[in-house]
Amino acid sequence: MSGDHVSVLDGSTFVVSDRRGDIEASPTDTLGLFHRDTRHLSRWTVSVGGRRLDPLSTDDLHYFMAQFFLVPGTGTVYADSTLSVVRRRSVGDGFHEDLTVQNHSAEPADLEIRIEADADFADLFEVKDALMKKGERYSRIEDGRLVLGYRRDRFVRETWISASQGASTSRDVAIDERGLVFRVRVEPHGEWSTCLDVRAVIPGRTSSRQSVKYAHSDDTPRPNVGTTLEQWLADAPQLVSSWDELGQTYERSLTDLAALRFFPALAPDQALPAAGLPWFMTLFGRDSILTSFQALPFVPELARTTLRVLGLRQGTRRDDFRDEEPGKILHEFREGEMTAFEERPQSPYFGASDTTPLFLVLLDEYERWTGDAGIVHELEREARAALRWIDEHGDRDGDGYIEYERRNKETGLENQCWKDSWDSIRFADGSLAPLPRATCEIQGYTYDAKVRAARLARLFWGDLALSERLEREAAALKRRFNSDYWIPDRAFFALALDGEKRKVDALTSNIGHLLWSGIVDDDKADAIARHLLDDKLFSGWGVRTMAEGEGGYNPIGYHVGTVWPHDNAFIAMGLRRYGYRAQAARVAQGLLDAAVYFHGRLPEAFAGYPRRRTRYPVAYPTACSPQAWATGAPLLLLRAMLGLEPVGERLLVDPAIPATIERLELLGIPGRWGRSDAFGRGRVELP
Amino acid sequence: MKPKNARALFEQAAAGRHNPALEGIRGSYRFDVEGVSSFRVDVDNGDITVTEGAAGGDCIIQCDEQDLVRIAYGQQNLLTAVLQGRVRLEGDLVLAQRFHGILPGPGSNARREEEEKEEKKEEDQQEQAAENPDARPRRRVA
Repeated sequence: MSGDHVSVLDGSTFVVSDRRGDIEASPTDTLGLFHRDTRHLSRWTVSVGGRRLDPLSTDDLHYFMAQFFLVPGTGTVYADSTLSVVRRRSVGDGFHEDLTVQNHSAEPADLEIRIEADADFADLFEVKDALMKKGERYSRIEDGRLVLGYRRDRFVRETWISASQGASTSRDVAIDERGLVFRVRVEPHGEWSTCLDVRAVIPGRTSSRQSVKYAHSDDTPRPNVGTTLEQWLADAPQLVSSWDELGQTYERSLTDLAALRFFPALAPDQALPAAGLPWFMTLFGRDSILTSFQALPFVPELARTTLRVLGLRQGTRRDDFRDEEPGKILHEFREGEMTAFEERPQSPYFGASDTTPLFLVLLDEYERWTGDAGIVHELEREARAALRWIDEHGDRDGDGYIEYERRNKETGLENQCWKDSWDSIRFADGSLAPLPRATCEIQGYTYDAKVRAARLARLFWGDLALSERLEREAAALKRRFNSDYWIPDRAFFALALDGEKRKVDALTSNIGHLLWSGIVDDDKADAIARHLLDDKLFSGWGVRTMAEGEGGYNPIGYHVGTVWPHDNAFIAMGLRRYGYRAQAARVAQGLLDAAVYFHGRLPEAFAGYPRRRTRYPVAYPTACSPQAWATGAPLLLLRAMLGLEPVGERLLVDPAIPATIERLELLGIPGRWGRSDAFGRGRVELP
Repeated sequence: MKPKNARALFEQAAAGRHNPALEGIRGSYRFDVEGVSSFRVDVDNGDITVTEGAAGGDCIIQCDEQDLVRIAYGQQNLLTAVLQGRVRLEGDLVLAQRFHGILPGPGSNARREEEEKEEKKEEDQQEQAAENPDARPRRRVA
């Protein structure tokens, strides 16, 4: 988000305003009140005596609350205002705003305070593409509130705006279709205030609440959900470190992860991580799985909800519009108008080929950490369906690899791997690889998924035959992969096999995910680790998505040269898995150094410029922030540095901490062992 | 034979009795079909019982007859029907998620698998389908 914007959010409801607290949305920006992928307010401005307000300061008190200190614009710096205005906003199923006007002069002030409101009811997708609405807008005034509405057939969305009296000295409110006007007298050195309630309403949809969730001085997020922010922070392990900024990054990550919690309709009292603000405040298969994985040593319950909800929404049929197949795990779920009328396929959309193996990876990892065998039994059917998807649908041509090519040619995703922009899969000469594409990391995830599912089948499902078959298949896949994807003259794995089974020969960060998955033969790991830390891939802050020198490389290209924090966190885990302790520490240190420049909040991606040239990490222009898996990256880096692995009923700690961090302790790590502590000292000299 | 009305759909569902795709599921659905009647479908580990006019139900689905038939035949997706406001869902949404499978028609999982095998055959024959090079997906950037 831009530094000029202030956001407050709660799940899929969020308000983005300017620094005055005002919303004046153009058709293509994300200012507004959004609820379930629809913009319920596109205009929300306050003026006093016909003058708009100037900001003095803005506080993001919590992720769900902000406060704006303002004065009426005087047009000159030489005239002091005798009035102050304070707006305090908290988000719920809409938002609640306390508006206070203080009169600092010795004379009474007779004021007209005008709040203008309007709603365009744009689908989040329309905001991006500036599309026209197909239905009709309406407004009415009833029961002392202004109702703004939108109707297309039986699709109805409304915004209800009302004012209730605070501690005022006089009041006269008039409501019309443009908003609310108060005519008030504020006594000398006195103040006037009111409360504004804005509710996003879907008529006919049962709501668990009758009013917005927050009211005056109610600092507790989601009272209907159980875990307050304070409790959330208190339950997480405590970090003790000689590096103060690391502590700040850690706290920021935990707070942002709390902010990004999404309470799905299928499990309304359980949270899973949504993908990011503002574009992706919804359930994403890949993002929710990988973020839950990153958060396992800290908040393991996110993984449980993610697994349950993704299992419930697992594909059951072949549906080309949604790129759905039986057993497939979804990519993205939306609830806006374009999704409702099937102008977009996100109901849900299944265009991701890595989510299904990653679902199995998370299921196993979750059990290894928590010992929660119940969910492994509960999801046995879904896990078996996922395994069948890999062989019967993921591998379309029977060559033993998962490949993808969208069936929805109009609104489906061309790339169904994590690098899902259209131009990410390129040869070394920069040319695009023909479809279908079998990217390398998906084969790694599949290998890992089969190895892990073999364990689950043996220990929990009582199916030895399946277990042995999966182990055989995994071993065979590893053998073939190390031959079919290996590029001997450059000594790394191809990014993908293309539609003609040619090796897509660009050097990319994907090879790091292969280490994480364990599919790499031991005798090839050295070469991979060398490439990852070489100047062409490693910028000094992190591993670039594509190496400098490749034909498609662009340091500010979304998936072809930028540095992605989550990518790096998994790479660090991969380096640890193969014993490259110093290299893992180097990646962790680079990323955590970068986090300091972003005030502890790593963005989705940042530019791939070399560190020695820019001295600070350069922001990527349109990066989403906070983004769930970037938020989770420091957490996974802590795991990588401390070498945390569940082994049987214990937590194994095997630190490999950069010498620049003298002391690193993580206390009270939850797991099947109860709570356990990890201590480490910085002894690793960086390469 | 495709039942074209709600009553026929539920009669066929009752005649089917057991659907392997519903094994592991226990719960009851109540369909309030506008202007027709209400039907309760109890599912017990794959066994289906249908009772007309019974009250209760863990998951209540309210819609008109035409939408019900369209949904049962896969011509209308249940979820987008809910998002459009054509179908109201109350109660256990987890059960609602398993909705495809309790009514006959290609909505049931078993039939979908069959149907899909057919489609796959067809697809294999048309593998070299022409592509539209201009159709590019939405990038995940603002």
